Amino acid sequence: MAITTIFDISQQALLNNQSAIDTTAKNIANINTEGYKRRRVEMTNTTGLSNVNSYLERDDLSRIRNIFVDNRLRMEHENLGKYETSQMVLNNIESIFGEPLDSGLQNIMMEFWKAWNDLANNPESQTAKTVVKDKAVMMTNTFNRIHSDFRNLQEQIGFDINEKVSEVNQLIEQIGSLNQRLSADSSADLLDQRDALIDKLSELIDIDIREYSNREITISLSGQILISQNYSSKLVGTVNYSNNFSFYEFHVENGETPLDIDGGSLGALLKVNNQDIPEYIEQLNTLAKTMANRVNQVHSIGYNIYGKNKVNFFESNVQGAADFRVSSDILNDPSRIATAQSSGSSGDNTIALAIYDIQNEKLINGATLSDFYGSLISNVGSQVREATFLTESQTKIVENLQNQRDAISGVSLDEEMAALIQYENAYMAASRLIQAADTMIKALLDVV
Amino acid sequence: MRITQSMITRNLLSYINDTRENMSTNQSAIASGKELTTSSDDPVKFSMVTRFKEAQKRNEQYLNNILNAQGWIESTTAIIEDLYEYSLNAKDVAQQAADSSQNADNRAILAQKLNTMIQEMVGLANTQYLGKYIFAGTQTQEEVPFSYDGNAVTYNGNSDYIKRRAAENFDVTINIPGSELTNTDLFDSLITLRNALLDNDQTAISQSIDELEKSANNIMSINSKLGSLKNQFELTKNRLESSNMKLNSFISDLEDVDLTRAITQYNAEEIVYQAALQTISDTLNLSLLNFLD
Repeated sequence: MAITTIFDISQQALLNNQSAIDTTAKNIANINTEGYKRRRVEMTNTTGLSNVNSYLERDDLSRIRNIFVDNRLRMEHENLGKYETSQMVLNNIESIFGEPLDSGLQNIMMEFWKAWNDLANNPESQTAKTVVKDKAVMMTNTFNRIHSDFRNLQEQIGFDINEKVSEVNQLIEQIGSLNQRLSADSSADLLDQRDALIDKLSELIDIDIREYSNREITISLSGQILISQNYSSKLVGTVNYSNNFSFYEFHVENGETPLDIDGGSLGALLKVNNQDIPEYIEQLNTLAKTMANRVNQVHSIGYNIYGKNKVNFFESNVQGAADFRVSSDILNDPSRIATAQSSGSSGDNTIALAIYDIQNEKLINGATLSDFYGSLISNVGSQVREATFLTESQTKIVENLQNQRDAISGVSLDEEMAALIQYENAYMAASRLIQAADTMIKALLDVV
Repeated sequence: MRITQSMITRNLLSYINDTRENMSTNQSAIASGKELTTSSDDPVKFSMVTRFKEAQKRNEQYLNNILNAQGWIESTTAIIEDLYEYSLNAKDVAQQAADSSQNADNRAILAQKLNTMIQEMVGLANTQYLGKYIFAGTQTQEEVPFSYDGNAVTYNGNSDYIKRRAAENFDVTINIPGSELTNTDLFDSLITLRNALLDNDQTAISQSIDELEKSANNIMSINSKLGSLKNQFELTKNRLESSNMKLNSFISDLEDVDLTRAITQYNAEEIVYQAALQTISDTLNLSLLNFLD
């Protein structure tokens, strides 16, 4: 073996250790970079001695990762995005109903019935009738307010949906172009970048990811491909309105089939917008309609102090919470409120009592008006509670998985420092080898 | 397991956040004194509290109704008692006039007195309570219920009853329609007596004493009816009040915060929080770097 081989080996060792130190530097520099996976220089002993020039050879820079944990994390990210968003929006819905503050509808309905009770105590009183009118106006205003609050909320959610969709489309475009570049150049940095973008995308929608051995990736949403090797397709949305309430639907650019998006924060927004809000409004409409019709029905039997019957208390043909109003007859002159069963007996409170009793009638699916509304409220409450609970536990799950991922892919400062010293020493030792070989050659030359 | 810097930071922040959240929940519970503020805090408890509160408010309305009805009944009772008084006085007059020593002139004077009494009694029967005729059936603000033209007392009201809601599914009639007063024959027997006095008819006068007696008894029975009504109201009132007290304690059990528990918990969490902060400042400074030259 020639002495000069020592030079070759030491030079190789110097280069390898330098590159290892370089990688350590990169790891330390990226300790706080989101999605960065720690790198390691793989050094192996060459088995065959045929190539004596390289006892050691440098592998690719390898990214340390666990695909299983990565995929789990994306799935749980998707759920977290969904729960967090629904919690936020449902909280909004709960505050629209405003229970149990004094401004809550349940309280105001109670006040309305109480006003009828007071009128029954004092059917002759103009004041009591004015109070009934005022409470009724307050109640109908609250119905109107809730309805328009829901519309405003939907408008807000609409903005959010559009924003999320453009975010999704941007991500699709970026991932698509990275995908193409990666088929030519499999750099670790690009892979890290793509992983981080896919993480983001998975928070927004429920995607299926398939990763191939050649590092290409296919992402699909409810069976339709969004991104594949040389292809990416954006989401296109349509909005339909019925009764002033919006309904969003999406399909891929090159397809017609509506996508079933039910995960991620976009899925949560779509569910609240397309399903929850219309459902709540429907129930509120039923409540308003039933109340208006029933009160009118009883009220129109009765006679007022002008000896008139067949007066509507609420506007006739109320369709829902939006057009729930006290009739203009009563608004203009509360004395037109009927309390008596027969004309010409101002002390007769039969009708006032009958209207007071409406609150105990099981008018909607075997429930009283108040019970019906109460179950609507506790329904909203349960949903908020569920979303809060799920968000909390999901946060823990995601944190746990992030820890698992970091345990594998994260950078540990202590480890890097130790590695630094290790490589530094090796580097120094290799230098000493060159020095030794040099001395050896000099000694040989002296002999000559 | 490898423990990396990002894990340490994440975990510490997560613990701190959890403790912070618990502290804030406890803090707002202590400050507001309420454990339940929205339906989402506990939907089941919340709907129970709502029901209880509704029942409570309704009971308060019933109590108010009873108070209102009691006023009405008190004034009705006062008048009925006055009328009874008058009927006794009239009986005295009749007994006095029935004495054979009385002559036509004396009897005419007594007839005059009796006439004034009748007018006063009609006035009583036309009494208003809070601007409403008490004895007019439901025609409380229409024409004057009783009119007297010197020959007969006419009733202009109706014989309908006024009801008040005293409790769930429990209506109580609170008025005595004028027709019931007419049915006691009080006015009729007084007018008969007066006419007998004017006619100086001793037999008729003696007969009218019995009639007056009967009318007075009729009035008395109205009075005892009112009395039992008052008792009924009193009983219902007590029942409603005690039911409201019970509801109050139910509601308080459900929605009020257990201060001792909340404060103790808050203190415990404060200690945890401080410990967490201490650990963070210690842990974050730990690194191999500190020990390298």
